[in-house]
Amino acid sequence: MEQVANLLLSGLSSGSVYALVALGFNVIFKSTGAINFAQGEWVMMGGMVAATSYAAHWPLGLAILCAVLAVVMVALLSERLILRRIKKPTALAVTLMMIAIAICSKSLVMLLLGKNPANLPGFSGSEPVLWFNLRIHPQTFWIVGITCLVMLATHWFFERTVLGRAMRAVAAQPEAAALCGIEPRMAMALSFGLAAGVGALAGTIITPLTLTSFDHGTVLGFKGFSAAMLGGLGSLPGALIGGVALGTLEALAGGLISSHFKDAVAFVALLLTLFLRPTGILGRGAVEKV
Amino acid sequence: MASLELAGVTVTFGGLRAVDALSFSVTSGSIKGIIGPNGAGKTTLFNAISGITAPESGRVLLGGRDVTALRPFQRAALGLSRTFQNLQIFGDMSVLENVMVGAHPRLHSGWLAGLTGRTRDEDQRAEEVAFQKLSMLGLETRAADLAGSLGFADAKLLEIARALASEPQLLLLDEPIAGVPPADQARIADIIREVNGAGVTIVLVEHNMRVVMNLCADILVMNYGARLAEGEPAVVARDPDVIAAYLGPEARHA
Repeated sequence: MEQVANLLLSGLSSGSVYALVALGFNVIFKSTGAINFAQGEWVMMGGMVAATSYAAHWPLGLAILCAVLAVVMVALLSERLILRRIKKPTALAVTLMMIAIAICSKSLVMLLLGKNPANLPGFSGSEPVLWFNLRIHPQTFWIVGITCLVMLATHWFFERTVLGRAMRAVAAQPEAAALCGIEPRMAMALSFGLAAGVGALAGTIITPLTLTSFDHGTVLGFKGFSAAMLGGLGSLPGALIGGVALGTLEALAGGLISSHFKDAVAFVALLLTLFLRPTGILGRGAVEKV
Repeated sequence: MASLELAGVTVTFGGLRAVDALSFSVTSGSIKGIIGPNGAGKTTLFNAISGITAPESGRVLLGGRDVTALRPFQRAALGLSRTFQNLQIFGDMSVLENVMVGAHPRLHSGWLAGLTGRTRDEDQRAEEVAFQKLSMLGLETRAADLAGSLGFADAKLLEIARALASEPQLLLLDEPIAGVPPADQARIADIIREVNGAGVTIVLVEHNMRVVMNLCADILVMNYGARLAEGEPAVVARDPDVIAAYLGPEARHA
């Protein structure tokens, strides 16, 4: 019983991070129709930059801020210098280009920040908090809290602000949105900045629990993608549900069956989603009115 | 003064000249009708005017200003707005939100304010404008509904409301009446007349001849991307070339 509760808690914290990664996938999918395969690398980059800055004796808060800003800059530059030059930025062209950007981002981190795993301290230390009989790592609260805040803020942004509404309009009908005076490229740049910022934040909050290194991004990206698919690609609440579901399943499978199964869960979840319900839990069927 | 002027505009797709060296102008404050058989290039013409399709040659002028090199969102800022024949509504947004997006060119906040949400006043104004346009088109009771749930006729009205929300000087209407039940056709015609009465120049593509003849003082007939005839409705309707294009060459002698 206690073991299951512990597993659920660890599932909740890794699931929250998957949810943030999935959120990044969804934001970019909504605005461009593309799958951003660099999302995982941005998460890793966030963790690496924060860890390196912290190792250089920067205050923790400043290191995290610097990591988020650096990754947002990398994403905006990728958009500005590479994606904008694609003559016809179809979803497929952008997706392929993001794979290239992912590979370059990974190599860039390896060359600049090195191959060694890097670490950050827990934001409130690492003395476990005792709750009933459970020993909870204090970072768990930070992870879950920050994830909830980011989810609420993103929801508010898309539903309640002029700019968020403009971005949804571009996602739905780019031509009509352009004729409503919205610059489609601006919406695209904004979605890249948003996805990168959220990804980098996810990287900094998980690093105290898992460490990070230049080759962590691919797996994180894959799990975030599975979470996004599971919850429904393009759906913001779907990212939260998919992420937490995947994290929980993974923790339970790892703890109750065998730790060898842990990483297989995301693959199985992705395959089952594609076979049984390609639109995901919250995704609506792709019904096109003709 | 001409609100819209085209000089030798040519749009080609592969070897097909969808619009072929077309020149015409639209007097400020008037309603210009554009008719022609299916495939005559009417929608392509609208795409060239609104900047969605780049012409191969020729110039597009809005209010005397050459906008040929400007992108759609820049032309929108200059007072151009349009509807689409194959509806392009924002399906997963509410009806009211659709029209609020239409009010976008009237908002003046920078992107930083938009990002941080410090645009509440403008948002409220956009909402007021949007609601007023919805009332004008009789859609105010559906304001909170999802736009994707509207029927075809209401969706067409929604497109007009969204186009009006930007308070355009020039409005391009692509078949606003096609597919609308007869009961609502007269209402849309009245709305077009009302909008025009408020000073908006209108270019109207429509197949319903009775409506076009009633609304427009000036009609351009297109065939194979080029001008077949142009002038007053009564003159155009008697033109033998126009009759031939619509009914086949043998009708010329009937």
